[in-house]
Amino acid sequence: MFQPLADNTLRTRVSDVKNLPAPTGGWVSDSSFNGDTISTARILRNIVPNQRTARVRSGSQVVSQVAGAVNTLMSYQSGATKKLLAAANGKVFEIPVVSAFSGLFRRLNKLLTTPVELKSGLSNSKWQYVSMANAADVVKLVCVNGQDGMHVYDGTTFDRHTPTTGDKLTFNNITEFKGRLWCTDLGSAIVYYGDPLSNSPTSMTPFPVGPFLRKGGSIVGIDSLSVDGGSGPDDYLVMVSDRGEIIIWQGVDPADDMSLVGVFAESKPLGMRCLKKSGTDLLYFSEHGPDFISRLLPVAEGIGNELIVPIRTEFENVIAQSHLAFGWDFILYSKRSWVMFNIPIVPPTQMSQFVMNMETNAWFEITDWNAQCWVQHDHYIIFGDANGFIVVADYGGTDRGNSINFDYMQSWYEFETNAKKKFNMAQMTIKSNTKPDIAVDIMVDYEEVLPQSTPNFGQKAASSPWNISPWNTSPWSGSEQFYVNTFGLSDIGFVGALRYRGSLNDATHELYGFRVAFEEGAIL
Amino acid sequence: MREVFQQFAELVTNVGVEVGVSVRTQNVIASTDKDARQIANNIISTCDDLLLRFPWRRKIGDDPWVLKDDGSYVYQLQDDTDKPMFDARLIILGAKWRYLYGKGFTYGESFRDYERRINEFAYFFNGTDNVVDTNVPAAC
Repeated sequence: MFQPLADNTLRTRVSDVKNLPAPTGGWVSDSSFNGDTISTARILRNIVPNQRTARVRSGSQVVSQVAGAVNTLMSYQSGATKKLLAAANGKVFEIPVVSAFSGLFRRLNKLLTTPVELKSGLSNSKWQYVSMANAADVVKLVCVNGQDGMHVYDGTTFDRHTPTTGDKLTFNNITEFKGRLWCTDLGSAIVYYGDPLSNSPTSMTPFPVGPFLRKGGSIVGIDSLSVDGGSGPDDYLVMVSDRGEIIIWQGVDPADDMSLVGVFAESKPLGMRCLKKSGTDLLYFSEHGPDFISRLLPVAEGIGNELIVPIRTEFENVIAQSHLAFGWDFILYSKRSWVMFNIPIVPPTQMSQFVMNMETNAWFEITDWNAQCWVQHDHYIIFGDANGFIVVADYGGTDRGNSINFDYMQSWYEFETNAKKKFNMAQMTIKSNTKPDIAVDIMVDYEEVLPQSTPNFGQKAASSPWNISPWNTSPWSGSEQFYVNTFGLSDIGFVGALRYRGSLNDATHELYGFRVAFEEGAIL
Repeated sequence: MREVFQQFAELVTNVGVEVGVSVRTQNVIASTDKDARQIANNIISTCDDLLLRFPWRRKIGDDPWVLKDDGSYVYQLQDDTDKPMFDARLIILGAKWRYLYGKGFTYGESFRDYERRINEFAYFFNGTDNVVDTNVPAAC
């Protein structure tokens, strides 16, 4: 039975108020409640945590379409020449698009370009590739897909390259290490390396690593790692087996000075695209989630940082469900300093991205960009989807003309008192160029439901009536302004978390912070 | 002393303005805006209170006290356009202190404003003060 929380014969204020910041600490699902969680979020979907605010992400725009699911996007750059390639349905296309559009937030609601077919009749479209210049500075993309042998793109044609010796149709992953191409072979623990300083090697020499694998299996991932081991920078060659063993090599010439650094047991890799450079380090995407390879090395100084992943449980849950699906991938988006992990939620049509802002180590989730693969090309981040669309992401104010849906829930919080609380009111400070239209409620005692209350943020004042407002001083229509709104809450619990959802169509929305008023009650 | 009547939705808007919240005033009974619903219920509580207070206890008695748009009278507020037959200013004051009370904010002054206006109406209709002890918390 409800009773007054406190005597109040003088009819004075009994509510307390706590000020809470925007979720700059990002998405943290692996925590219970405590005082460190006030700037983190239990849910942070399509909202980007920045240094001091949290802002709804930009949209996405279709730029072209090919037949079939786009499994690979490749970026080629040689001097000023920039080409985007897409692989789908056993074909490889050039997408002559991206230089054609300019200026963020420009609307592009039509297919911009017609793809040009470069190659057809291929066995699959899941290519791994590396860009490499030879000694004459001729840049080529060297590509392998595990079935069709080595292919090379020189800026004009995409053709089969056949080394005289050591050729394999089943080359399935590739990297460049100290001037040589290195390829893995599908289902094999023998890797192959090419001639020095050649991006069209005439020979591929076998380099057996099976004797070093204690669990057996084959090599599926290969890339290089640069570390400062205390005596200057050095490069390592990293190989990953399908059983999760990581072999690290040091040296230049495999026939002469390559030496084994160590073999480490880790979780199994997620697909072929499990290794990527991140600055000097190498990110490894495994069934345990992402982590830096450098922490495995027995070299002390400057390395060994474990990537703290506050959403590792989220990773593990979806990995347990979809680990065999195609689409596991990740990409470094340098313009935003994001590292984006592509997550097959319900493949191939429902894909999410778990994203870390590398400036703040804050995580968030992106939905509705149902990407199969990613590439950073020129100044743009581009993905391909299961319906053949090639889409520029982080662009414009809608998702292909549809509203951008966002969802935020504060981390569970005790509000610095262990008493039961009756949550009375909240006040939010939002910067937007349109009246916020959100559903908001406070969740209590770990029960997460959809917010139902839709408070009114008041009618935005007609800021600059035409023909009346002074020129050059009145704000332009559509410019951002602050909305500070107070609205009621009505739930009772020991821990609480504000949650709100909404959608935007060509509009902005930036959360600066909020305050919650509550009354303290009994301790049990 | 003339009583001025207002529609239900107008009353909700005016209470919202007085307590500093912006409320959605369409279909206030079933609104998805918690403030609109709470203020609507504060208004209904105020009307219930006034039905038992002088002079409305004598003026209205057991008669219906809500004027519909079509000119008929009913016993409860149902639509945005319904008009409770009590002074609008008085309803706003009553709903205001109830809202502040519900939110745990200081409400003593608003409560006194409400009781004072009831006294003024009682004086106008009866010629004498209807003494109310404002130190006793009222039910909300």
